[in-house]
Amino acid sequence: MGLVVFLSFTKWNGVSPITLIGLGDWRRLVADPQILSSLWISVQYTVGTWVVQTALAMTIGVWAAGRQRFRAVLSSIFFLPLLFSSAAIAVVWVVLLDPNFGIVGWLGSKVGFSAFDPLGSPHGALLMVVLVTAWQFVPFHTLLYQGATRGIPKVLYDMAALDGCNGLKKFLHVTLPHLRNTIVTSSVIIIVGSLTAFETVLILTNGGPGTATYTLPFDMYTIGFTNTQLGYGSAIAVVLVVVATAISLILVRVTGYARMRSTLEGM
Amino acid sequence: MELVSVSRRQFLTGAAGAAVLLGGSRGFGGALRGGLARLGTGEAAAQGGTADVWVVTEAENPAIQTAINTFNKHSSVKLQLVIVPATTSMNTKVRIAIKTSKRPNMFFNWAGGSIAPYVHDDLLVNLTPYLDAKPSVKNSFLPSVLGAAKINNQFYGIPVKGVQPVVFFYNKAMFKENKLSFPKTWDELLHAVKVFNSKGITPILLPGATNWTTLMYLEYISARLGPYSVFEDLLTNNPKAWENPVILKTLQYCVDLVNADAFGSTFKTLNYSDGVADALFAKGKGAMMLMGTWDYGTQVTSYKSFALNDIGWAPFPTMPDGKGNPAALAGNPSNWLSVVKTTPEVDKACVDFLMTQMNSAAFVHNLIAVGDVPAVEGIENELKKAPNSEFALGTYNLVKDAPSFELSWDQAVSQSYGPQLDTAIQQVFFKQISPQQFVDKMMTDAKEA
Repeated sequence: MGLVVFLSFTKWNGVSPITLIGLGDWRRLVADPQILSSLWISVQYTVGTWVVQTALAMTIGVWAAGRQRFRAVLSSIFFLPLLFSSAAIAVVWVVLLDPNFGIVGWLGSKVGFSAFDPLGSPHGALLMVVLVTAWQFVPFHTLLYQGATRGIPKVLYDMAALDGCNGLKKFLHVTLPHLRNTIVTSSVIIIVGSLTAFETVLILTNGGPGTATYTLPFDMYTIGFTNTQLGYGSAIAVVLVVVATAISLILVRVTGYARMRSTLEGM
Repeated sequence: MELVSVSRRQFLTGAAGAAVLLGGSRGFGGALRGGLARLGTGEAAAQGGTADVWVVTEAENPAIQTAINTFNKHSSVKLQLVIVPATTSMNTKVRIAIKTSKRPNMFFNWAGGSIAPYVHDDLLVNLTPYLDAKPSVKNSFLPSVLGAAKINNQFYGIPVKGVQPVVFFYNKAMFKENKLSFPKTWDELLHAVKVFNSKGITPILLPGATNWTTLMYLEYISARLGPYSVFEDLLTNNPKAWENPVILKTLQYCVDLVNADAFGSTFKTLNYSDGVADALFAKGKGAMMLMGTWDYGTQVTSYKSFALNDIGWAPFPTMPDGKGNPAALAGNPSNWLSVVKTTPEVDKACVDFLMTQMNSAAFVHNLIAVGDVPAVEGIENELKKAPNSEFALGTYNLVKDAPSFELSWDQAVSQSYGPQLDTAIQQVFFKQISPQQFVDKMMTDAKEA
């Protein structure tokens, strides 16, 4: 990290000697409209990822903690994406989403979309990145929610049933409060992971169409390694670390997670 | 503001020292010092008498391998072909490795900005003395192609592929069915676009997801609008290069082509590197494709019948009020192999390989067999025996007779913003930025480079 901070005050192409340029990279960063655009895209990606993954993981995790028929078999199949690397998953989805030869394009044409090309539009491409990421990581967060739900004492549900609560009310008044710490844990992992996610964007969209999915990490990579502006890329890296760390600290502080209060206190 | 210049050795030694301090344990520090020392000294492992030749995934690789096999029979230094996958950037891979023990001994490149930093840092072998000492070798290559690898008027590369001007490939059967001849003017091109659109045929296949494919339109339209100095200013990093009104005019023509629906509805996600565009062209899903003649080699390998019978090709049409020479070319004059300085023995072996194999009859023959047109003088008779001799001879004469042959702009300009140029022109085609925004961006990027 110290080296990256040092490089953020230099101009270096990775080959020639390093040149110290003071605040040159930082002045450029503040004035660069692409950085602001990348930051906004990262925010959209992070929010979208959190919404999709939290909703799905919580729903499936709570369901998987129950005793439904075939739960174990279905859970095992569902957790398969956890076994694959991000790169492998992205390569597969690029092929599936190809509008000319991919199965998704073929299916889309069968339901009335003659040129179904989700990666071809800015919003569609970003949505696809969110969904492919969700496909990969929802199983992991599902495990977190499943484990947490299993830890909720059954007696609480029995008491709720005695009070006349139906399924939804049991979820809202028993399950959800006891998942508070898990929600915070999962959210921190999702948010920090989203702010630093890179390989899915690289392989699925390569930042495109155009710069529509240029997240901040991808922008940093492009500037630092493709354009060989390692000094400027390092300045972006420092911003990324500071922003991700700040968000994590704020989340932990605001949610009271730092106090490590058990949801079973008083039981 | 340049306050201090820190050499790579000083930086890495400083980094090593800091890491040792922080690491603590002798074992960790020792290992790190050893690793960084290897990085810092610049001494490449000669790898026990072998030399690595890095090339990209191309149809010509078997020909290069055969040349290497021939050379290795009589050389104590054995060359090894290392193929860099198409999904990896050769430029990035070389840049990362060139000052380490894992560096290539020779590498495939695009000349211009792709090797300029290495020349600047004295990392490449200057081939000029060797070429001057062997005029028969020097004069065996087409001068416009050999000269394209000059930096500061010195030669740093030898052509390893055929000449690769960008031309308009077209489906002869489709044009015949629609009673069209290939457009010679911009207006005729727009008319052809209209006709094909009315028949539900994608007029021009543009693998727009691969951003440099959009650059070719910028290069040719500006070359046809002219004059040649528009490109020269870029090549010499003239600070006012991007302000030239021809560039803005060129961009507007690009937008006109997009607005005319010339590229179909899925061009933004159509990739070139995965072969999908070639497959679509071969399957008759598009009438035209602006692409380098390297693509013909790929078509011959993958879709031989289509390539030999149905592909036509033509120069880029002229532009209204254009001052450029209609015979001017753009594209890759070739690709080159450059030699990275390592040990005298290995350097000599690499130079000998280039001097003896790249213009040999066998190598020329093998390149022609995969559809290439080698950048070698006096091969007309050999080209007459090529799989598609008409195409091969036509391309050869195109290059021989061209008044100018512009190197691809993203290779010609500084590599500090060459990739950004590709992204920005792609954004114009995707209508994410306006032509003026493109010009403003390029002016800023060129200044920061």
